[in-house]
Amino acid sequence: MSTIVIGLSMGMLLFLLAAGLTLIFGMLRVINFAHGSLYMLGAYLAFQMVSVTGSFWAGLVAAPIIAAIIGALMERIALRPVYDRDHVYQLLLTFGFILVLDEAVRIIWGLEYKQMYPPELFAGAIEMFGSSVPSYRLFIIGFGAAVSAALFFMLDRSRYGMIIRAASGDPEMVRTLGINVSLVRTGVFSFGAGLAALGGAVAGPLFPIELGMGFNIIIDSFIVVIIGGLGNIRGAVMAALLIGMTRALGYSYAPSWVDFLTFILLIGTLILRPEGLFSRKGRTA
Amino acid sequence: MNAIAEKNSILRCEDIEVSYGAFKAVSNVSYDFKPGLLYGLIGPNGAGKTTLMNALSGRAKLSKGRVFLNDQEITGKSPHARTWAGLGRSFQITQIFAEMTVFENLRLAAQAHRFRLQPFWRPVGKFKEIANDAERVLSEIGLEGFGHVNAGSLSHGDQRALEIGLALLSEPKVLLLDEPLAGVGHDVVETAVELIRKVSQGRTVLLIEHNMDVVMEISDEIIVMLAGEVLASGEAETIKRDPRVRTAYLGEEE
Amino acid sequence: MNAQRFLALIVAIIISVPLLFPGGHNIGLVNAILIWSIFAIGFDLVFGIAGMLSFGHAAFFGVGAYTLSLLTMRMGWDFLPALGAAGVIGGALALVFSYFAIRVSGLFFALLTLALSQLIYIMAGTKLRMLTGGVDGIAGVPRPDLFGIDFYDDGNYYFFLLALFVLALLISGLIRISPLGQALKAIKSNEVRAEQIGFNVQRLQRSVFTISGIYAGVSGGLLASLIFYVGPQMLHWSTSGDVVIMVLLGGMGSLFGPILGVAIFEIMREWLSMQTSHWYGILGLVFIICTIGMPKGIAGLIIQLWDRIMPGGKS
Repeated sequence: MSTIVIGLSMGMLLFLLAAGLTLIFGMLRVINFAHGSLYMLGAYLAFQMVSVTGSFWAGLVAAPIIAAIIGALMERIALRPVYDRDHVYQLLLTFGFILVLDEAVRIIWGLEYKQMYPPELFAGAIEMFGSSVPSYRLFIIGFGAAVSAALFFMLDRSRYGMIIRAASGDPEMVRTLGINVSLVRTGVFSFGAGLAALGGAVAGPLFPIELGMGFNIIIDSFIVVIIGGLGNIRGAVMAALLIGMTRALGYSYAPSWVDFLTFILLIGTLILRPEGLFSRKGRTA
Repeated sequence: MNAIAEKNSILRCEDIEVSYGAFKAVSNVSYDFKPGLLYGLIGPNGAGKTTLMNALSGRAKLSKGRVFLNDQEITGKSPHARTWAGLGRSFQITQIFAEMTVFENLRLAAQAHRFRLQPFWRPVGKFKEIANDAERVLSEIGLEGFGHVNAGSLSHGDQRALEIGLALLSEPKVLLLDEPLAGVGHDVVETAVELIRKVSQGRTVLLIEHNMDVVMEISDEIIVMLAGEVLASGEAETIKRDPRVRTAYLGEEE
Repeated sequence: MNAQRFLALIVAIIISVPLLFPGGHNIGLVNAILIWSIFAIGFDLVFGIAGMLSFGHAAFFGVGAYTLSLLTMRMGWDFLPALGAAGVIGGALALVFSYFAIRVSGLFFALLTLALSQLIYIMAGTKLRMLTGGVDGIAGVPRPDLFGIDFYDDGNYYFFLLALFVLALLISGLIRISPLGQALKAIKSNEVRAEQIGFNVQRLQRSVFTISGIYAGVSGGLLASLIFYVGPQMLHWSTSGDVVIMVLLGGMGSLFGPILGVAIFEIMREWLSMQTSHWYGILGLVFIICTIGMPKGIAGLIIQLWDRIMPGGKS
């Protein structure tokens, strides 16, 4: 039972990151290497808010907002000038962001591990089907499900969602319709950055907050995004849960093979179905 | 298919089909292309003309059927292998090495044709034979004096000519030309048509073209496609009178 | 003098600092520049000439380093054959990578090479710990023992490295202007057209990726011998990132550009890391600014300035 809860909560966490990555890719055709760094930044920001205000919830709200502002600045200042160049340059820029963000975190918070605690409401454990499950894990599952439901609702039903979907399909057309595409791009990048930081804030009480945490999770998020199909947010949910469960099962049965398994899943997908396992479209010529 | 017909065909497709999901872009196409003839491939937009060309040149995957070049089966072979087997082509959207000079463009094509393994121990300039090939084709396509110009800054018509030149350097037995006149100015259409006539000497050409006067005038045989299938084929006069073609094009009642 | 020769002159001055100022303290720095330059020159064949962004070159670099270390220390091989083996193994691994990675293009190629190299990194740290020494790495990697010269003296080792550097530069220069190099440029320029005129695109890409792997393997082996140590950090993806930064900083696709990039990177590492512990972040900023502002790197900038200052003397 606890394996399932751990798997689901991992999956939800991964989804928060993957959703941002895949939205950004869908809209900007950029694979954001720095997404892991934004996640890490989110964890540190939440930690800072908690130590200042004493409230976990303050951190959960503030971290994504600050990260979204930083994301908007990154997109405006750095990415915008290179959209008309080869996509490789955008990838390289986000790689540069990693170096800068990681350094900034090192300067501000130093090298030692930080520790964050779950809010009092979810500090304990709950008995479920005969095993004890930390209630914070359950909170993550519920929170993640709520965020993804909100996300789907926004993308499917709202005007913003329609603009985003239209603009990722055919930016020129949307521009002629009088929509400010460059503003939409900034918005999406900033929103993705916020989601990453939200993931970091939520993950804060689960893991030690440290500099390497961004890279550890970015590889998994790439795996999720690619298995789910780049730009395909529904696929990302399935893939996130798949990877979360794989990890959780792996940790309990074959811990030394977990990393191998996920990498081999990624490599296999990239080679055999680069459009993703959960994508309905066939491969086009 | 009898033995004589097989001997007489240079390019043959048997019941080929290209599908994207449920959509069949090309289906039930079987055709024998005879050596030395110029075939005009016409049909409304979306009829599958370019897809058929892609299927022949190896850019589109067949979901059914087989393709033979000179009685050798080339089904499933990659585009470069088909080029080696004697199949050259130009593209609807000009495909050249835009930031290189015209001469470098042609030299690359000559080099691709001459060497299977690209040599790396001598500067490319030392291989006189490929430079000679390039010079020869440069004048064949009427671009003498433009050798040192960047290909990307040529006029559109000259870029189309360069594209044909690139295809010529692989010494193709069959040449597929996808709308070589598209976007070419009125004043130079004559020159372009002349070039097509010239390169069709001694080889089989399959030409997609929307300029009906040109197609009817220079083709030995016309193939009409509609909705992925071959609707009719034959000499220009026959095609013009064919009621099915008239219906397809003009919406006339049969 | 044209701009290219001017660039060559700058490179010549940088690498001959130990000759111009004998007895200086810069010898270690120049040695490192020579080794990383071999890596970067080889990387640029793939990145600058063939237009493939690989984030997996750390694997070939690190595996070369381990190969040299293990063969000399455990198997008793001589240095030169072991260095050759480092190149061969680096190239072979690159060939294996290319069979997987070349099936996809662009961003997917970058991600796939990254994933493959991280797989090697994880393997070296866990499953192959017996061989690699795990996170501790292997200390005591030797240097060559030739003609009775003491290569443990950095001043002497400089000449050994210089010879290999010049050789690497010559081979790369030749490849660039050879039919092979032209074919690769053609693929970068227009893959559809390159394939249609009869280039076997995938085979050419595999060839250059393999050649580049040999460069990486050799330079990895040399770095291990320079610092007498090999560790998993050399396999880490940030090493791939370093070489990308170097090449982009210096100027991708040009013969001398990557060397300038390496020199600046190493000098920054040396000087900035003395001034501040945050040099890597500053490097990141410089990298971002360069990526936006000068896509052709320092070499491109110098050529541009040169042509402006020296009108008529077009390069």
